[in-house]
Amino acid sequence: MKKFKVSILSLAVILSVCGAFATRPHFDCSNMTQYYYAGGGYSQAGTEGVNYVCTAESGTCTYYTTDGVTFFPCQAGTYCTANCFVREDGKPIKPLKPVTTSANTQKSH
Amino acid sequence: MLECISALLILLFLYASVSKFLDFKTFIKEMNNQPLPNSWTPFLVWFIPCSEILLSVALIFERTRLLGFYGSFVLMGLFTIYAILILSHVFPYVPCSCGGVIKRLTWRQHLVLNLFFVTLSVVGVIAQRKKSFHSIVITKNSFV
Repeated sequence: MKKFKVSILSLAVILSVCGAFATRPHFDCSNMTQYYYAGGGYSQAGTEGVNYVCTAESGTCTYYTTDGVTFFPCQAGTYCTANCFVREDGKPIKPLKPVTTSANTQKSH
Repeated sequence: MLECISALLILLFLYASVSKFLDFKTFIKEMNNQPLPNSWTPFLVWFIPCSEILLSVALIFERTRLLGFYGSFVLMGLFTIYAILILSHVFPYVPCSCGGVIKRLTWRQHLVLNLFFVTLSVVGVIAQRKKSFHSIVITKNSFV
């Protein structure tokens, strides 16, 4: 019985650690420069959590590119900047800093 | 039964904490994406995974298991309250539900998962207390 108890706990430890390694993302697009789609082109999104957030609504929040020509969806949700943090009563809850990097607008192809 | 409950909680906590440490940069970003002050991020990104590891260790050993069940109840209770607040639109926006494969879950599914583990922790506390009480009674009787 004692052996069974020890083995079930050992199994849980091994499974959880191996599971975490197995499901580890191999390519994380969110580590690349993020862009958002606006008005027929892509602009630099800035820093997540500082300049923008991705809310849990449908759609694509940010995109990434490898060649500056083709943009691929990265983060799901809706791209939100300062206005998204304003409640209905008009009081800002968590104001975001404006994007400091020069807006690098690129046309999609 | 106690070992099975412990094993399930260890599976959850250890998986979640190791996943966070393996992709720590993304975890920081996900934490910044939550509707909490960004000044909390440096504290939370260490506190959450470290407390999950400590609870897993506490749940392994018989002597510290009751403490582990209490800790699991508190931590899962806090996560559950957070999920309820998000679903009730208390925060100005609904953030992504992040963390390993768990990020594929919606907030409603998150809530169900959390409630299951809160219940499991409560059952663990009750069962462990009963077991500890019985062992005390047996020890006392053996002295009489």
